[in-house]
Amino acid sequence: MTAALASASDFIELDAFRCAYLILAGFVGGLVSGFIGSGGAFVLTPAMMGLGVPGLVAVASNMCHKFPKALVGAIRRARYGQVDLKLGIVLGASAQAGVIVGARVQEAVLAAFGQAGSNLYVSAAFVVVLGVVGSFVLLDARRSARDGPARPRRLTRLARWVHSVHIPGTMMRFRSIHSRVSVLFTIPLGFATGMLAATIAVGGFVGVPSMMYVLGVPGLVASATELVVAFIMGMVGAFNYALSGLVDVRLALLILAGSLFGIHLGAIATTRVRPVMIKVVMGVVMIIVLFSRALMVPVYLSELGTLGDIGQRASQALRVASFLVNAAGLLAGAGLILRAMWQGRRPAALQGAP
Amino acid sequence: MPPGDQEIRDRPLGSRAGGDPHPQAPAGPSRGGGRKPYGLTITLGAAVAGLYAGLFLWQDVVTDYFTRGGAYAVLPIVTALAFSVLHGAFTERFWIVLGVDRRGDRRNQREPD
Repeated sequence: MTAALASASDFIELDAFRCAYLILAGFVGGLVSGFIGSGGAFVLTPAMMGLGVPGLVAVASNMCHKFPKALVGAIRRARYGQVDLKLGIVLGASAQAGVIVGARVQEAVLAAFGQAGSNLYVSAAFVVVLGVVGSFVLLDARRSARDGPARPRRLTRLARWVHSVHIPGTMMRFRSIHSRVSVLFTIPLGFATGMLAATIAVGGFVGVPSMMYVLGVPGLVASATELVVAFIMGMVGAFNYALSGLVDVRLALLILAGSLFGIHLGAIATTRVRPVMIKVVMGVVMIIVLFSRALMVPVYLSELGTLGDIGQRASQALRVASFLVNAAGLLAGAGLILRAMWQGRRPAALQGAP
Repeated sequence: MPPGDQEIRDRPLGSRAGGDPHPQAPAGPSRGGGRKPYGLTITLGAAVAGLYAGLFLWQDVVTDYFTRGGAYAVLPIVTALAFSVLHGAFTERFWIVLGVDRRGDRRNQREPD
């Protein structure tokens, strides 16, 4: 551990431009987080690295801003009656196990295939998970929008089956589900959320959809409860990094400065737009981020020697394009939220909202 | 995994019986129609500005202690929490002062998604 300790001299100088950049990036990340329960990490970490921050310090500092942000967002949305605290704690506890296993898998991949292999593993996880889950979320959003607000929410067949299974000694009642559910179902979901968080830093991309479609939690409650999971995972993760002296608290607090403005606005937005917008924003962000990571796959395959040499210039161009698409994903999410809020500001517009 | 066809009606969270016992209860520090918390917002904003000013004025000392690892690991965690409590309180009131606040009581709304 001691060898990993960073010294203050390793941290970057912060001028006015860098400070403003971090605050703005934090605001956009916070806005999306407050609305869909996750997001931001996949852009904020590369954004910090773009300023010259070492990768591990960027991940650690991002983690250190994430858990207080999630706490503030969770408290805010709990006031709106959207948080299932018990479910969040149960999922958060099992997510911790997922984080530990996910980190071990990462280390094993890194040891076996080197940095390029590790990067390829992360990108492949992004593409597969976001492709499958993102497509489903968008299709479901389309169906919900088509049905209109008058139609009651439907449970998926899977959720109905989960509700029907009774395993003595494992049943637990959750307010958001209105039913008793076996923790043997919630544990794997939390575990998968933690594993994904350790792999691609955005566990909510699995956590929120799994709550919605496997457990039958309403979208608004799922995105709010994910903030509790993110708080638990983030605080333990940040502490682990801090034990190695890797947290640059200045970076964490600058991002936090912007993201707390954003997370309140995102939480307010959930009360001003139709709930289907949660699915729309999440699906759109997921699909755009998928393309961003897919752009990097040829680069990593080339570095592994599987694809042949694609050249330095092509590699650099793909890296830049990937980062820009990534940032576009976050900005698109923020734009959709602000647009929906703007449209929802008129009382007449809310007639169609539930 | 296509969505099934069983319909359910959401009940508001925080109610076992399915009805909100306090449907009109205020859920934040100030709601739209009341007086806006200008004084408190300015006070909190000044306190947050002071914290950030202190952080950057003594950034060398701060980063030195905060990166020592071991027991010092609690420093960034506690600091981030303290900043978030104060700054979170400020940003919440900031939007209220600007007139951007929650609309309605979502707990009483049926969700169609």
